[in-house]
Amino acid sequence: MTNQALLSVQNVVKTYESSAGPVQAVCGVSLELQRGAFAALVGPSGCGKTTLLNAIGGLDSVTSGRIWIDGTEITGLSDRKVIEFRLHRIGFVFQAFNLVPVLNAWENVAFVMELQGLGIKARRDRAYELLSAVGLSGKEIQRPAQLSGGQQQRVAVARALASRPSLVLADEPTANLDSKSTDKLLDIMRELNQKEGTTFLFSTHDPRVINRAEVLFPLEDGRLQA
Amino acid sequence: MNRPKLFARQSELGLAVRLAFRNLGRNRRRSLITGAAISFALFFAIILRSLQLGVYGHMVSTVVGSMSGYVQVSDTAYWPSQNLDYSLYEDQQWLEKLRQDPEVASAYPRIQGIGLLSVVDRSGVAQWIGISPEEAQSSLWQTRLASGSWESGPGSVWLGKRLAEQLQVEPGDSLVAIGQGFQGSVAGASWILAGTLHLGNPELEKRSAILKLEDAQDFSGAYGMWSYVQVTPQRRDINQDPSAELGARHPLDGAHFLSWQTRMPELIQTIEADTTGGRVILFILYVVIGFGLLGTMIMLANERRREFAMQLAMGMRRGLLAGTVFIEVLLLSLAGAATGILAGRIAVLILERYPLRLWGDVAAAIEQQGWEAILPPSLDWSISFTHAGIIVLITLAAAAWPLRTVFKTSPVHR
Ligand SMILES: Nc1ncnc2c1ncn2[C@@H]1O[C@H](COP(=O)(O)OP(=O)(O)OP(=O)(O)O)[C@@H](O)[C@H]1O
Ligand SMILES: [Mg+2]
Repeated sequence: MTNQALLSVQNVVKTYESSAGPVQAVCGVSLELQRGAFAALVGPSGCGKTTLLNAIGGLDSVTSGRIWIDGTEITGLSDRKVIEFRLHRIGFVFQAFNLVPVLNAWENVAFVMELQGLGIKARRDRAYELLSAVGLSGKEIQRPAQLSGGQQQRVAVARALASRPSLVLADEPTANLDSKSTDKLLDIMRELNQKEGTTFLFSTHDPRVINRAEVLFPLEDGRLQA
Repeated sequence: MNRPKLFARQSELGLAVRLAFRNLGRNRRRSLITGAAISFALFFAIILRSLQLGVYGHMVSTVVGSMSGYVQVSDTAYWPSQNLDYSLYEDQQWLEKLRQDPEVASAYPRIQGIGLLSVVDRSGVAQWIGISPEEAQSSLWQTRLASGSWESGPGSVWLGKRLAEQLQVEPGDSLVAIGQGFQGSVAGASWILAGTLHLGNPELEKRSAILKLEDAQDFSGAYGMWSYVQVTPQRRDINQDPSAELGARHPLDGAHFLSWQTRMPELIQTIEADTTGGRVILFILYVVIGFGLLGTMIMLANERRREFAMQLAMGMRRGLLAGTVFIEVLLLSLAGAATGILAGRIAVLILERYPLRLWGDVAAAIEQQGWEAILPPSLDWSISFTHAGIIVLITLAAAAWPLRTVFKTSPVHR
């Protein structure tokens, strides 16, 4: 691994056991991502994007191989340490079901900070600031059900950034959005990426996202294409 | 390494409580229905048990309380023949000491036997009981007077209402009594009816004749003797038996202390058989409610599976997430239990003020067996709390399902 790389994936293999026998979803992927990158894993459905992102985020184990984030080998951490690592160092944006339905927008953004034990004032200030950065000023006390899909995704982006993580992982964040919302979300993420230097790694097969990414990792049948 | 705590920080507890409250409000109708099911089950259980235990208490106090006594001190040979010949010699000093025991509410010496009463061509068998002046003064007897008066000269008798009706006598009329006396003597006397008595139990009303202790001793020839001393302890619960304790503190030569439970095993058996029936009904109720709650909990767990996964992915500890769900269910069950206790208590108090009176054949059958056909409830708070505890535990047991879901859900998002 190179020292300055924020993310280093080495020879990661993930095999699922299914009733039809083992399925190799990721077959020996190695990649590096520099700090401040705006990158995307791209490829057709079923090529292993989600599997790889889940492994990088420590949500799922790998069959073999190693993953370093910011100098920590997360594939070597205990379950508890992985949870703590996720809490402090990684932000997630999923395709859907990102938000806690019973918390309003700012509380959702503050959720991670609350888990970290931040005081209410600090949480609220930062949440309001982030909501304004994603263009949701005035929507702070709306519950997720009162927000559009695009607005919900923007709340999720704000939340992913709330704890100033080293890396934000976003699995098809625009899959449920129309082009206008997609552009807006991408603008926001790009701006945060440039202003705050947060590193983003998406998975997508959405050409609108692919066009905006700085670095592309094409994936096919669980393998990176040269 | 320190072990993980359920709530590592105060802010975590705050978050858990907030999420729990909001989740309750999220599906308000379901929360209300679940809470209502809990309170209704509890309400029903409280009423059922209060009535059951109340009826037993009523049974015991009518049969035992005023008549044979919760505890009897008698000659060791007196039971079960209850023969006049096995009487005790009066011991006023011992009696005074017994009465001063803080565990003793009252202690009255009596002498009793069987006799035949007749008026003109009508007659009836009676159990005559000689009671002391102190006992006659007690509110228990004072309030039982149906007609006539307690103020009366020597040779007076007070009859159970039904016995007086059977003999067709009114206060002021005289009757002739005959019976077996002390040590083979013949007992005979002429008495004047001084009053009639409500005894709360038709059987007792048909065969009781109350005399003054001295008149009774005179009648039977058992001068200076007591058949037994009727003791009412302070603790009178069905499952309390203070007789051994009292006997040890107040020994009397040749006598022993017998509780009603020992003297009347059939009464205990009746109660136990009946209480088992009640328990079976409640058991079925709880099983039904328990499965209902389990169904609700499974639904809740399935609805939240994705949300759980997302929260775990965010870095929420499983323990904290489980704590959140636990608090939610706990709040729900406590709210249900509180309203159930409240409603049950109100109902029990109403039933105490206006006791249920049985009617028709059931009432007749019950009265035939000797019980007044009313259902007075027990006011014991422990009934409410025991059943509240049971239902809260059942609810929390059902919560094991969503808790299991929390621990089994993978943070992998799909
Ligand atoms: N839990 C699982 N058990 C068995 N096979 C799985 C499991 N999850 C994923 N797979 C398989 O692994 C492969 C990669 O799946 P993955 O979800 O990573 O694809 P993806 O690139 O994210 O696709 P999409 O663009 O449709 O989201 C697929 O062939 C899929 O069928
Ligand atoms: Mg996917």
